[in-house]
Amino acid sequence: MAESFSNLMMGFGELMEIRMLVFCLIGVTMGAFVGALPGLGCSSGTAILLPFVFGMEPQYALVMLAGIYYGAMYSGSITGTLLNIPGESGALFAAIEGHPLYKQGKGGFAIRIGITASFISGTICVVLLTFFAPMLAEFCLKFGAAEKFALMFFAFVFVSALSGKTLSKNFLALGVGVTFSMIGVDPMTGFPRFAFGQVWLYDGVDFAIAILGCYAICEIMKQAGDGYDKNYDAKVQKITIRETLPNFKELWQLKWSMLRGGIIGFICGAMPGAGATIAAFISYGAEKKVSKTPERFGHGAIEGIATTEAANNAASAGAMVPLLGLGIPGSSTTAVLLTGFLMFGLQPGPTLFTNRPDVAWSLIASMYVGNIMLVLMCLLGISAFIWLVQKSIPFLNPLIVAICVAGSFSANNWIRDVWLMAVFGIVAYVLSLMDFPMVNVLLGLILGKDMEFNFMKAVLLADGDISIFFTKPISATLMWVSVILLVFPLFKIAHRNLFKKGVA
Amino acid sequence: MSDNNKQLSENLTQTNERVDKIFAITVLAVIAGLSLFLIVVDLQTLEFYNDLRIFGPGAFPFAVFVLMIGLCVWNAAEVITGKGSSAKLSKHIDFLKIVKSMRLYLLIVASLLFMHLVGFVLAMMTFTFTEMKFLSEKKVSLPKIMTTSIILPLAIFYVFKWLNVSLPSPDWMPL
Repeated sequence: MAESFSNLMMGFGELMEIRMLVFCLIGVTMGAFVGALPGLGCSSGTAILLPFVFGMEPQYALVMLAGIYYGAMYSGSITGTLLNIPGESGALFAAIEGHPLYKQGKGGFAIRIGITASFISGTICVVLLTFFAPMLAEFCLKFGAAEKFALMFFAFVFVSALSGKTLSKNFLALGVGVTFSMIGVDPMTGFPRFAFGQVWLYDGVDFAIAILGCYAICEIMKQAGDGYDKNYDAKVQKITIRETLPNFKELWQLKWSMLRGGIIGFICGAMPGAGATIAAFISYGAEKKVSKTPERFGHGAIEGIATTEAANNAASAGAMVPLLGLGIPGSSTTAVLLTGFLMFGLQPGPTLFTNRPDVAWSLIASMYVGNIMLVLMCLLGISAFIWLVQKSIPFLNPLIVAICVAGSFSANNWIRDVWLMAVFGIVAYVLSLMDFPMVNVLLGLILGKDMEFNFMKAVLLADGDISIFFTKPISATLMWVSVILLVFPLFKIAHRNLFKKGVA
Repeated sequence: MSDNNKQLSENLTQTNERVDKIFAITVLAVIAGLSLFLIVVDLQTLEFYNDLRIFGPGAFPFAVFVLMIGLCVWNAAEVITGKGSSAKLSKHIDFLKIVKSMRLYLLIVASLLFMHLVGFVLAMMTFTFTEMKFLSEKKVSLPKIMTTSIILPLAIFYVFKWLNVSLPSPDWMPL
């Protein structure tokens, strides 16, 4: 613990350089902007802003990207409350509970509770991250090829069990992602696969391009199909700065709601595949269950906002645990962050803390500073936010397309990458019509090659004996848990069908 | 009269469900077909076992594609029988929405083709103007569209130039 504290102080030391603080501020501002923009969402927004970091040094870029991530979590609730359009999926309950409060003339109250709950929960969870990530990282140094494969397999199974509604579609989405990951040279033998003679595909599919296509292009296509929502023109109440300043008496009354949301959010965030949206849903359900007046929920229950916003931000800190400690993205947005790491040749995981402690700890330190910047910015700048959001909406599509085209070109200075992005866009659109979860596609794309490499390496080291995955203790535990997670839903279905037929 | 409305509504629901089923089966068939094609490519070009009788570069892809075909069959069975969590889509397939989405996508593709000839700035100017004027349902005045069409692509071009990325531009353009 003392070591973590001194490392954190080192991180603060790195962060106190003016440029780092500036990039942190730019990141949280951009994140707050994209988080407030309806429809874009955290992961799409981070993906769209990824090209801006291509030319930067890694520590600045990662601080900025992380700032974008948790910045988006703060501001999604603002448009949800004011315009009844959540900026991202985790802010859905800010719209459900916040907008009725806004109509009752309590918009400032709803926003300040949401933002301060986000700040308190986010800060506490960054403290937990500070002490958990290195411990987990130390534990993970014991991971060999078999354990890494088992962990990735567990992540695949867990993501599929939690994201989306149907197991078969979740796995199919994973399979699509893994298929794309197999394009290029084989990780063990160096033999080209599925490139069909195209030399430019030998390096494989760039994650950043896939993310731009799957999230940004696909999202604007879906929005174009849904049509223009006239709520965008809704007149906004004037909210004074005084209304947005925190009231400690109110916060004290909501302490248990925030605590529940924070714990649920951190745990959900730390589990690969769960993420902020699931955290928000679980915490909302839990809050409603423990409430003495559950009938108020859906009509302006402030506990609903406090707990879900706390869960949201806690999940963003929690998602950093598997990312920094294990190199496995805990959510779709951390998958984008992982892309950022890989772009700079950094491998998140236990070795990051030993090889590049300056990057790892300055990133964690930036989350403390970023949270403070965000709470001040959001509370004081709400009117400006609303103005900016409403002004950007008419040219949102051209803005996104131009950034995506420029971004995908800048990855390798090839126009073919822009076409690849367009291909991913249409593939993602068709899959989304079929309710295929995009997070699974991207998880498969990002982890597929590593998973195969670790599988092959483990089998080679064991002289072809596949049972190695079930004999080494850590690997065996993860594999058996994965098997149970896989088999249990099928068992439930079979059991339900048997009962329906009246068989004892 | 209300019985007629009820009947119409039921017919519409049945039609929607039929369309959803056809769409789902088609997509699953395409995925399964591609997986099968890739299995053939895999078996023809890659080794399943290497000389040490340990898995070669073809083994993992083979397993993935076989699994995908199995999942497609499972999913398709749920769709056809109407039983199971994959039986229905969360939103009905709305062809009007798909047409609107594809219009935007085709405009993006056309802009990319145009970019080969005239570079990033002019292609994006054209895209911005066309999207805001003809595709977008948000009412924006022509002067604002013209201004945005000129400023937005130039701004992005120079931001990326500042980041040391040279976006495509023809030799005759002084940027």
